[in-house]
Amino acid sequence: MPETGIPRLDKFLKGGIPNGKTLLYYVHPGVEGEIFAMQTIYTNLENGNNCVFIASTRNPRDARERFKEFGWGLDKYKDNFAIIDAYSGLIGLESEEKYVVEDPTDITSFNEVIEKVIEECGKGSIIFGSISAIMDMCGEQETLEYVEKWNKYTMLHDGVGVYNFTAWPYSEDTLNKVREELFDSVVVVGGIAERVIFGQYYGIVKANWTEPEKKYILFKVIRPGGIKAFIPKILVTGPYNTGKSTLVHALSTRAVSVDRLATTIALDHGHIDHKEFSVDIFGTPGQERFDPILKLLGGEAMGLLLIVDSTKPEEFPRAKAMLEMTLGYGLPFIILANKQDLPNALSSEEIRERMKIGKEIKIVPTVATQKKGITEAFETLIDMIVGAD
Amino acid sequence: MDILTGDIPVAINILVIGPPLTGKAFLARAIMYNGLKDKEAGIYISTKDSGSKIKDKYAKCGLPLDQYEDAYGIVDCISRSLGTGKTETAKNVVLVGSAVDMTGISIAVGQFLEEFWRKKQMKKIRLVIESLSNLLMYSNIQTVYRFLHVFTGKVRAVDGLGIYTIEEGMHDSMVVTTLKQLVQGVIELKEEGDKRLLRVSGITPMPTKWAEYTIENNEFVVKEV
Repeated sequence: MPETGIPRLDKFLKGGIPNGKTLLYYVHPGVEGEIFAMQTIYTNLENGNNCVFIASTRNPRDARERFKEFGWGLDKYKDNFAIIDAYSGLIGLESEEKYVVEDPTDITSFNEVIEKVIEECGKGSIIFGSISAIMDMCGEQETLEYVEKWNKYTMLHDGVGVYNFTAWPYSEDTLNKVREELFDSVVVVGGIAERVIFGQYYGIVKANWTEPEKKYILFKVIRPGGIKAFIPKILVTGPYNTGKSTLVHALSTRAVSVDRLATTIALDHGHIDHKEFSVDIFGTPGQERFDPILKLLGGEAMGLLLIVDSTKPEEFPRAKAMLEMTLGYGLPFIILANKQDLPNALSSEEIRERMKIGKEIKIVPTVATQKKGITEAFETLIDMIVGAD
Repeated sequence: MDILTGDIPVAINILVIGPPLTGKAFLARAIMYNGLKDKEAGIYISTKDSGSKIKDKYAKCGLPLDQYEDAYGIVDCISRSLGTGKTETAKNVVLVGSAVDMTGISIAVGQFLEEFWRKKQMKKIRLVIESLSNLLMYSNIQTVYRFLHVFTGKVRAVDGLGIYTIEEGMHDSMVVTTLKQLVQGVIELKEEGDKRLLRVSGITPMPTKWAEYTIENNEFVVKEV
């Protein structure tokens, strides 16, 4: 099944986009939406599918350059990738592309080319274009009528249609029709704004082939790299000298500590780029006098790694108290049974018993100094935060 | 202009309209530059010239941008549009696919706004689109209207000052009337004999009187009314 290639989206869609179906990225103005379709295209090229990109607002050569910005070279996919040039005709340039829309302001001119492409490219191929860009050129109603036709045609030929739509202030009717009726699935891409946009998210509005998980994921666009799911704050806490700073540094791509006399008196901060995720983690000091910091950070965190020294059962009550301080916020959390390499280290199950922790809570054995078990613990928590299956 | 209207209010969008070669672009550049001098941020969206040409134009007018490196951004809708494969990025310049790519323009502006308004805490920002006539060459008025509807709203949301230039005589009057609905003020420029005149409407209860202006020694000077 063709995949979207967007972090977690294929899981939420139960595998991807089945042949014959359409998916719309419904993008709020000012949010980076085209990159979603580009990532979907590149993922499918890598998976051996044919892909076609309709370039309406930029020169085809520039469209190819944009892929390069994200580290996605198209040269090796010459036989699988084509551009429908719906731009050159607009500004009176000669086109070098195989597929050219002679008059991009005329929807029938579009139709001729798109029908031909759907026929020629065959099963499982991805066609991408910006519906709003075509609408702006050819008119709202005219375009929407043809989109319905293209969707049927896509279904008949077992292709996959992936479209972008920038939700400019069109009429309510148009917006509703695009969002609710025309496409098999709709993924909304929006911005978190307080006067200016400072965060971006995506989530599934609908998918008619499955019961999709309706979760929203924050994301960042990384160049090169593309879309990464963004988790702004994971908290690392635990009693004094259990290895919190070591853990933050061991997990992080880059990290800083505010230290005095080798123990953390303020905060460790690390950033992790791991697989499809971009995560900021914060380690809190373990001493009781810093508990207000823990409470403050706990209120804003998205998940918690509680680290205990497996050789010091006498500190387990303190660990549990720290956990309770933050659990009021309902955070997903897991426990890391650290220092498993030392003699007398208790096993995860012994720790569970002594701390009176229920079976449903995961306890992962780790040796932070040797980076053992920590990636597994981190991935487990991420799965709990964004939904794994 | 301050002479004519008093202080410019915040959260305002102003259309600058006049025949070719009356100094619209000069006025727009000068307004942004005056903001930079007052420690405000400036975002210049060019649908006519490349980013480096805009910098040159500023420099030739005796308004060098170099000293305000951290406070301005240029959105260049030209360099990439011909598909010459040009992707070099100069500092402070973001390249957008073409003047048709209004989604790209609004993303680029959004990124500058985030940088200035949020990260650098520069709460006063001046934005220039030079010119709307070029946007209207490739996109119809409805499309440009929708884009500007969102854009002008954003300018007001950040208490900014938006300046938009448009050629007089190039578009039918319905187009100009439609665009006027989106702005709170209009600066009209005209030539009469060997004099150049301007007036401002929308900011004061009544339009100001026509006042003579000159561009001399790289300065846009409005004579006292």
